Amino acid sequence: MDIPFSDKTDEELAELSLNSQIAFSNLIKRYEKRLLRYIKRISGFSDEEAEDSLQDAFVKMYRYLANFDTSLSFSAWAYRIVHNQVISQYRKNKIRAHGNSIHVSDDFIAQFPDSLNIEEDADNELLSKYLKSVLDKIDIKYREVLVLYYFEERSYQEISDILMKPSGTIATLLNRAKKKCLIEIKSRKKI
Amino acid sequence: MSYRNQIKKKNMKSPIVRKTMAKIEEEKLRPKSAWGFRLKSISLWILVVVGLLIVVLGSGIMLEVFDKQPIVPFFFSKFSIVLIILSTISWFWIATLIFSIGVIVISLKKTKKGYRYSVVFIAISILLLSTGIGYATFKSGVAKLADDTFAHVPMYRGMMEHRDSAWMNPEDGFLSGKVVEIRSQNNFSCMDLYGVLWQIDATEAYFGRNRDIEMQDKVVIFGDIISDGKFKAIKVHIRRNDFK
Repeated sequence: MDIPFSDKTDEELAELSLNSQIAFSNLIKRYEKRLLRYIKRISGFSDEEAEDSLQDAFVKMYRYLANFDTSLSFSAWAYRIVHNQVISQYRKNKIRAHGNSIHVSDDFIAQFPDSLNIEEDADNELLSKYLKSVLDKIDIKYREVLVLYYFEERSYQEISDILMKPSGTIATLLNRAKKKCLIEIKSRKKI
Repeated sequence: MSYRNQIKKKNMKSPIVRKTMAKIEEEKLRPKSAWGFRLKSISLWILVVVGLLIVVLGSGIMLEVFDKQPIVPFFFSKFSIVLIILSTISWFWIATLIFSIGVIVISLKKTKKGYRYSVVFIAISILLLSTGIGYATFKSGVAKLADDTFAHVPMYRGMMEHRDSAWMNPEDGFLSGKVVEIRSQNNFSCMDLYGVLWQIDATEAYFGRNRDIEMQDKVVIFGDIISDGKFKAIKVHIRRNDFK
C-alpha cells in the first residue's frame, strides 16, 4: 500500500523524487506558491516571467536532486536554486530597466517598519508606497536579504545557506540594506 | 483509480506543476547521476589536500632557505642589503605558495559547505596551519631533504645557485665560496663562485654559531679586500649542511 506523500517530509520526498516523478510533482506543489512569491518580491518580474523562471528552477532542482545536501533543509536548497535562477535571469533581462515594480504585500509592510524604527503612527498605505519605491531603488543583493529575513522569516544561517555567503556577510548585508532603506525613506520624508 | 494516479491528477491541476512535468517528460530529463557530483566533490578535496601538502612543504623549505642565509653585520650599512635580501628570497616558493593557497581557497569555497567561511578566514587558517606544520618539517629535516631532492632538477638547481651568487661581490665587501685550504682557523683559503682563490685573514672576524672551519665548507664572508687575492674578514658565515 502506498504511503501518502502528505506524510513525507520534504527531504524524504526529495529522495523519493529521484525515482518518482509523482513525488517530485508533490514537491513542486508544496513550494510553488511561496517560491513564486519570493521571485516576485526580489525581482520585479511580471507574473509570466516569474512563472517561467520558477519552472526553469524546478527543472534544475529535478536535474540536480542527487546533489541535494541532506544536511541542509530542502527548503533552503530550493530557495538557493530559485535565487540563482532569478539572479541569472535578472542579469540577462535587466528587467528593472523596464520599470516593473517590486511586489510588496501588506503583511510585509506590517512587519518591516518595526525593525526600521519608523514612527508608529505612519500610515500603512503611505508606507506601502514608500517601501515599494524604496525596495525598487535598492540593489538586488540588499533587497534579497531584506526579503529573506523580514518576509520569508529566515534565520541568518538559512539565508547563508540560500545565498551561499558566510553568516557574517549576511549580517553585514542586512545592516547595510536597512541603512540604505532608512536613508532613502528619510530623504523622501524631507521632500 | 490508484492512489498515485489520484495524486498525479490533483497535482496536474496546477499550471506550474503541469508545465514543469511536461517539460521533464518532453525532454526526457532524468536526475543527474550522483557519481558526477561525488567525483566533483572528491576532485575538489584532492586539490585541497595536494595544495596543503605543497604549502606545508613550501613554507618549510622557505624557513630552511632563510635559515641558511647569513645574518648581515649591523654595521654593514654601506651595501645594498635590501637588494641582496630580495635576491636571496625564494621567489619560486613564494609564487608556488600564493598559487597553491589560491587553489585551496577556490576549491574549498566550491565544496558543499565552503561558502560558510570567508576567503580571508580560509586563507589565514591555511597560512597558520602551514606555518605550524612547515616549521615542524623544517625542524625535523624533512624540508631540507625536500630542498636537496628538488636540487636534482636542473631548473631548481639554477635557482639555488642564483640565490648563492647574491652573496658574491668582493668589491662591495662580501664573497661567497668554498674553503680549499686551512692554515689555521683564522687563516684559510677560499675559492669563490667564479673560481678565484682568496686568502682570508679572519683574525678579527666573528664566526657566529659555528666556530670551526672545515675543508669544503661553504662560506659567506663579510669584510674588505686588502690586496689582490687577499680579503680581511669581519664576519664569517659557515653554510655547512649540518651546522644547525
